[in-house]
Amino acid sequence: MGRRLGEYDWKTHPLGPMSDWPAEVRATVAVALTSRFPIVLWLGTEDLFLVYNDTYIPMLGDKHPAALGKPGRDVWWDIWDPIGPMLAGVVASGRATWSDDLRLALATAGQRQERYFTFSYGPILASAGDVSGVFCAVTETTERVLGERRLQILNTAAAALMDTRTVDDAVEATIQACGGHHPDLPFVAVYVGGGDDEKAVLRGASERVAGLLPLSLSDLIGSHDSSNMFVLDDLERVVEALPAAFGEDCPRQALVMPLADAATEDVISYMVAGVNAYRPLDELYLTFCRLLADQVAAAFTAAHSYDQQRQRAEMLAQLDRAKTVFLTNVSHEFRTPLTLLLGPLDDAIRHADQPAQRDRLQTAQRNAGRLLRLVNSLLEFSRIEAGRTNATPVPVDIGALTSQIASSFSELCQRAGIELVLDCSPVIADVDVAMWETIVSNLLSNAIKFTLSGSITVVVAASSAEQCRVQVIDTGTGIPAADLDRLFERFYRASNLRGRSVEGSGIGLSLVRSLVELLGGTIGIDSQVDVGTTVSITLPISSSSSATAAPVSQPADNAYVAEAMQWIDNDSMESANGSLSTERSRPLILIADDNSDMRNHLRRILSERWDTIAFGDGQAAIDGIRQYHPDVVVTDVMMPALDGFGLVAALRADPALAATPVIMLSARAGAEAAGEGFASGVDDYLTKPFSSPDLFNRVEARLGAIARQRASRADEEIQARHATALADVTAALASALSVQGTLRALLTAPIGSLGVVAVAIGLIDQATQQVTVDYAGALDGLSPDAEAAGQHVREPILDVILTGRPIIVDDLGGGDNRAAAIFPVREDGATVIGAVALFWPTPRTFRQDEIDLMSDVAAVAGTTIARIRAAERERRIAAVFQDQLLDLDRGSDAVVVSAIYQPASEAMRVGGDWYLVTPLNDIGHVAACVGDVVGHGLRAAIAMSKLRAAAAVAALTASYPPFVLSAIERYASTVPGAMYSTLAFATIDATKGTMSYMCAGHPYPLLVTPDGVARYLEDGRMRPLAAQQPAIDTQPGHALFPAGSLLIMYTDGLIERHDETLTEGFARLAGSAAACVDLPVDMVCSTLLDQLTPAAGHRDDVVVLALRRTGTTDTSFVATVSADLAQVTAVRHRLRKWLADLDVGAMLEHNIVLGVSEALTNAIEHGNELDAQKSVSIEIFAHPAAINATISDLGHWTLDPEASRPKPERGRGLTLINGLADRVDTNRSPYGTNVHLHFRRMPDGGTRR
Amino acid sequence: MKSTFDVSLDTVDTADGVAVTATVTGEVDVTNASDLARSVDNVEGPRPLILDLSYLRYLDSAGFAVIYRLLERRAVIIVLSSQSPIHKAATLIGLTSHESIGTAVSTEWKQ
Repeated sequence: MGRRLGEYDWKTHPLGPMSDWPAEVRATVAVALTSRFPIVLWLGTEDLFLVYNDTYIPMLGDKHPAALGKPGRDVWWDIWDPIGPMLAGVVASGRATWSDDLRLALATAGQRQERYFTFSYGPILASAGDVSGVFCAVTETTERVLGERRLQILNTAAAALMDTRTVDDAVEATIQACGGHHPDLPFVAVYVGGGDDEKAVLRGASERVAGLLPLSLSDLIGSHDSSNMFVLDDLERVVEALPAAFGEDCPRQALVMPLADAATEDVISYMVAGVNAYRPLDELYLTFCRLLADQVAAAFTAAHSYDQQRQRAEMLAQLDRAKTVFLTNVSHEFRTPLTLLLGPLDDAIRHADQPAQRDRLQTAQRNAGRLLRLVNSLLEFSRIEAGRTNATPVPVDIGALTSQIASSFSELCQRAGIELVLDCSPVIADVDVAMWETIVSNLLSNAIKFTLSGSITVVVAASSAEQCRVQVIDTGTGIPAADLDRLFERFYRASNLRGRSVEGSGIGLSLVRSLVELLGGTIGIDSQVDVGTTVSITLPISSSSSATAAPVSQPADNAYVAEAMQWIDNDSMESANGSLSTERSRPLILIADDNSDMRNHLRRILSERWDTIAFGDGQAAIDGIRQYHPDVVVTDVMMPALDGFGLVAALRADPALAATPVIMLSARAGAEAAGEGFASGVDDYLTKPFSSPDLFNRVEARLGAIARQRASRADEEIQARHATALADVTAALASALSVQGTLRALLTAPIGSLGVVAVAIGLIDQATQQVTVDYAGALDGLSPDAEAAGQHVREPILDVILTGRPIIVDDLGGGDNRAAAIFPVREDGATVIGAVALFWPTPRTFRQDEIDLMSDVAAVAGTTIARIRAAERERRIAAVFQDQLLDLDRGSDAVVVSAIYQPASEAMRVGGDWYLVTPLNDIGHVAACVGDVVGHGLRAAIAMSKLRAAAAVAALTASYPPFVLSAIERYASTVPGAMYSTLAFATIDATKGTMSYMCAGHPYPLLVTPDGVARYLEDGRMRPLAAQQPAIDTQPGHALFPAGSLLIMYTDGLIERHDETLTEGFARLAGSAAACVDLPVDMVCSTLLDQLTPAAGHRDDVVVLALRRTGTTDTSFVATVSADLAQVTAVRHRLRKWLADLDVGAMLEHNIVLGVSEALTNAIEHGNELDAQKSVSIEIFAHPAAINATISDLGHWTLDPEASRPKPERGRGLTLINGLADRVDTNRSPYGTNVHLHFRRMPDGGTRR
Repeated sequence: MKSTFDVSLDTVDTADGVAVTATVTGEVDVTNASDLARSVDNVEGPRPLILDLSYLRYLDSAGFAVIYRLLERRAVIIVLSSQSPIHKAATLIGLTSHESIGTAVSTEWKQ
């Protein structure tokens, strides 16, 4: 500002250059410029040119910078009216002014704004004492001033709204507080109504706008969204009359503020506030309005809820009055019909001559009387409520009166086993006798209800000169403290289930209190649970000294006594139940009700048709149910000890009783009450009152439902037994592998409880079409007359097979099997292939469910038999295949061959393993092969048959193993079931003593040389056959195969055990095989199989093939010769030569030669029947102590001389063999005979005789 | 291959004249047993013939069968030394034989 001042062109200014200004003025300018307080200098005396500092600029607003150096009147034209005279005064007088919070309507940006300032005008005195200008320090106080006045109005509004109770009050208070002439609230208006604008109606407005604003909010705000506060800008347009009312201060805007209910947040009304025309509607202004609106909204909310509560209270009061009126009217209306019931009942009882009839009528009378008492109580009560009771107190001896009333209860107490103690001193009080009777009777009846044993004491005595006290003290169950306070409330009933009865209307004590109060007394109650209750009444003593005689009701007429009698009667119930017989032919209905009349009534209705038993509370009923197992339970809801719901819950929780149907009787009508009943688990719900036939029908329906359930349960049990039996039989039959097995399974399986003693199965033989009958169990004629008895059984079976229809015979009329059930057996459910017959020892009648079961069993048996037949067929075919495959060609003179095939120990599965030995065209060449096809059964047999044939053809065509394998591989890929087959193949050239071999995924062949070394042949490996792998490029393995060497080929079953590695299996085989070096090949096979069989048997098929090269070594003589007798001589010469080298002595040598020759001759002649195509093998091993020889052929011959009597020569040969050898063993198999000769060597090698 | 045997003939005095002795050497088995029968039958002279098997190296059951048939016809008397290798077989079969020709003559041709 200093710079601006310096640059100002003062030369042309009336004040002239600054340097010409008086020194005082210049000093003042310097002070002003450096001050941080807003300072303006009015220089000169006429025009008062403006000079000001930086902090003054905001006050000038858009007048800066033009204001500098301008005359004051020009700059502050808008406020010159107030300040011009003040300035002039200062100049003229030289005295300063002080203005505090002066309101100035400054024009800013064309708008006048109400602003407040505090300032002082002081003269600038020149040296001469002349005033050369005015110094003004000024501060704007607008915010403070506005804040204060707004806060004030908020306070005022809060105070005014504080006590408003209605919406109208709140509106009025708002208008009063805000609608004066407050500058920031030119007017306020309140529209009341929900969020819907249409409904918001003007409820109040400031005086100045009264009658100007539209009545509906929507007319005021048009299409504005009123859900949030908004500014109504076109106020003058909407409310045309406004300027006239306000003049130049007319507000141009109004703020529309929705007021929401604090609780529900629903908009319940709107406040419209005019906006001060001289203040911008800035944030402070808006906040102020919002605060005000919140206050009003809070007041409205409070008024609203207050209003609602008041209305509710009024409604309740109205309802209460209506109820009293209703009770009064209804009670009155009841009394007439009750009177008309009681009168005729009295007459009827007098004239009833039948006890039963009289009994019924008395029940009716008693309960009509009870109803009358209830009605009277209600009436009396409602009269008191309505204030229409007029007590007519008379002075009476209250001690005597009370004693008199109490004594009506003495018989009752006696029967209930309670002592009634009366301790009544004569005291005169003013009471209404009838009321007093009601009071005392009520108290005593209550005491009896809740006192199961002990005493009830009635005490009347003066407690002071003015007052007397009447107390009823019992030793009953007591009342919990929580209930004590509410006991005298109308209809309140303490939840005490331990009394004699839970009957009661809940008005007794309330009525008593009302009556006592009418008599000018007070009543109090004191109680302790399980100790007792004391009710004390205090009455003023009468001023009169003489008592009026007061008549009271006779005990019989006292309705309270009559009612209480019903509770006491519960005790005599046991005797009524005592007559119940344990042997019942009729269904038993258990009744639980605490009202003896109701109990008797129910028994009367139900005992016509059923046995009944009754109990007075839920707990007793539960015990009774456990004891008697009733068919139906009929129970009341309200009972002491355990109520109806408790009873049902206890019943349902006990598995043994849970199914017992329960019919609940309740006085509570309506769907809700019934729903509660059903939810608790009752089967039926009957509302009192009910007619006798209705109850009767309900019970009958329950009993019917039980019968049906029992029947269906029995049915289900039969179904379950049936299914179980069938499952048992099916399981037993599943493991049957033969018809006999099937029979045994049928006989031993528990076919329900049918008691079958014999089972027979007749089957049509497929070949002969004859029926064969197999049987098991005690069947007629198993002995001794089999034929006849067989016929006895046979004929009906044949009939069934012929007709395909079952035969059920209840009684065959004789024999040991008197009853029979025979069912056809069908293959695939169609063709009859036989029949299953079940037999019983005694005549019997079959139930349909038994027949159904047997029919199902027969069907399962049929399936089993069909399965067995199919399996047998397949096994036969497979066995034929296997036989063929196990045929061993021993024709090569290059080797001695033996093989063994061991089926897997489990089941009779034929399968998969095969071997082949085939002499090749080249002399001294032979091929050997062992294979293993995946799987078992016919399919595997066919696959292996094909592979075997292929191997034979391939070997004969090209003996070089890779060529053979390649050919087999090619073929295998076309054979179904050959995939992943394994194979070991070897070609032996005996002329050179060599062999070559290959293995397609098969375990290594094992070579045992005469020196006893066992070695696996691990070269020549290739993948299993048809494994979808590239063709073979593997080189074969080669090995030396000298005379006497043993080649062992086998399938994996030999070495595999589930609990060890393959390596262990290989090691075990090698060890066993090494020891077989001097055993004949047949014994090699059997020894290896023996030694390598696990305890549990082989799990897979096993093949062992052993080949020993022919020729002689120091210790062995091995030859294979054709079945030609000429061979006998040749072998003898060679043998003799070999033996000579052994130096066994001439005699032994001769014996061995002769024995072996005889065996050989026998083998050729009888075993192979001189068929030169066949061959005989000889294996002889020299041990230090013995010579063992084995002669093998393909025939069946015997070593029993006696058996060959027709041919003496043969007999002599055998005699020789047996005589010459020290021991002879013969092994026969379907594939040939092996004779083992054992000759002991003399230690000295000498002769023996 | 066929076994071979030789038969050498001689005579021996007996109580009632002269008997022919035939001593067999070589081997008799199933291949040539019938030849032995034929050879014996072809020997001229009175019967029974003394057939000495003591020098036979080998005689199998087929040979024994031939011998038995000869014995049944009383065509031969068998001599078989207990030192012969075939003696044990003969014993086993139950062949009746004499230790030597001498004992045979003295036994069979008793006065």
